[in-house]
Amino acid sequence: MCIASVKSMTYALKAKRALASYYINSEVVKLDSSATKSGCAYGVKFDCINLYAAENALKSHNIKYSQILTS
Amino acid sequence: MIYLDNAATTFPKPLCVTDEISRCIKKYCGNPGRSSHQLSVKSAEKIYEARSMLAKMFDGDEENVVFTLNTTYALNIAIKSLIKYSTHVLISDMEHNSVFRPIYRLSKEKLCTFDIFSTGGTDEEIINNIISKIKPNTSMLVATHQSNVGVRKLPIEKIGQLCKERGIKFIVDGAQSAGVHPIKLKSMNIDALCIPAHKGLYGPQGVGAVIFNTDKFERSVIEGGTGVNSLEENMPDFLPELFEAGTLPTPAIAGFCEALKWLISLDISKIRAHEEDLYNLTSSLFKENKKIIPYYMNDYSGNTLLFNIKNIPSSTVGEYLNKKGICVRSGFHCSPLAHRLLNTGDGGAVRVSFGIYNSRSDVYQLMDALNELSVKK
Repeated sequence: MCIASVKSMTYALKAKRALASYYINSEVVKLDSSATKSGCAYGVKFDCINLYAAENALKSHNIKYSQILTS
Repeated sequence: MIYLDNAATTFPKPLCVTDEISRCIKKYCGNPGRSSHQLSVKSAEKIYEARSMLAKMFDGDEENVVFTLNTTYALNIAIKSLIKYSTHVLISDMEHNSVFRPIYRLSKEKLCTFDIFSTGGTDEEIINNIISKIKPNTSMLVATHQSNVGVRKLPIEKIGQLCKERGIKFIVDGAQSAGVHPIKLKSMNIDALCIPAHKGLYGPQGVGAVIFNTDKFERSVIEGGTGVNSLEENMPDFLPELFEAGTLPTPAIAGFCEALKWLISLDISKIRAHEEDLYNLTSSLFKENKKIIPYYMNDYSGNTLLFNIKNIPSSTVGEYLNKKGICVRSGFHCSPLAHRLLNTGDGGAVRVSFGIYNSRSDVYQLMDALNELSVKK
């Protein structure tokens, strides 16, 4: 699974909506502290098969993500 | 009971609001934005839905909706985060203490200077009044959209255009106008709109919002936990977390969200027309009693009337109406600037304010009581 790391829960929910508008199922997850140097952070988890479409969805909704993690 | 104090808070609330507050507390009230377990996420989703509704209604972006305790907190956050120290601020002569006091304190601490512009005259005259007060270092203008004593509605679209042209931050106090008049942040060039849930938007008390249309802030205002960037000493530098320290009131926001859906389904222009009908009826009936002194300005027609009865203190009128089962508000309504301008005197005045649940029958019963009192004294 892929996780797009975003700024906060608010952005994670915004990202979830953006992915849904591209028919991509996702869930909001809290990131492991090791994934970020600054402490608590959130992301949206989705099937990596949708990675290309997901990146387009986030870009089209102007949602910045710091990295794509894999789990 | 007849409730005519809707400018203080609308009452009653729609059933969908009370139902959702109860449902939230019983079913899903986790701490939003703090965990990824189902209750926390469900709460966060509801809050995000409320942000989306506000963004839709006021033409903003979801992430720029910052929830606060009420309009006063929203105004304090907007003013104190956007103000550049050692600059000049303009406010109107109709401002509530929620605008006047923060600006006054900043000026007393020599962090800014300020002037008050007159709202008398036509829209063009108001704009000219503002222009005449602008200084080279004017950086902010804070103005109420509609006064809480109901005598003036400011041309915020024109003021916003002027502020944009002059590079001045424009903060709007929408306490009385949100849900009553259309407000669009982007087209009206508003940098920050401050609103309550519990007045014209028919939500519960305990929540308000500031909706920003800028991302350039001078500083945070309240610091604390935000659920993100926990290892950093400073607050996050992005909205809404920059201004949302501490746990949000999820049940109140959930109720607010349902209120917004309800309001959008009804069409606020129809509600406004209903309230203006009651205003016009009251205004015409006031003219039949020579002892009633109404306070009008220009051609205002809205949902709030201010008046006195000759030789009777406003507090006595309020008490008398309360005994008759009619709720109004007397005194100065936290707006000393407006009362001074209207010359209401040492005792202030009586305010009646209408909402969606009022009827013409309420107006006739109010008038019966006022006529009875004015004959007695």
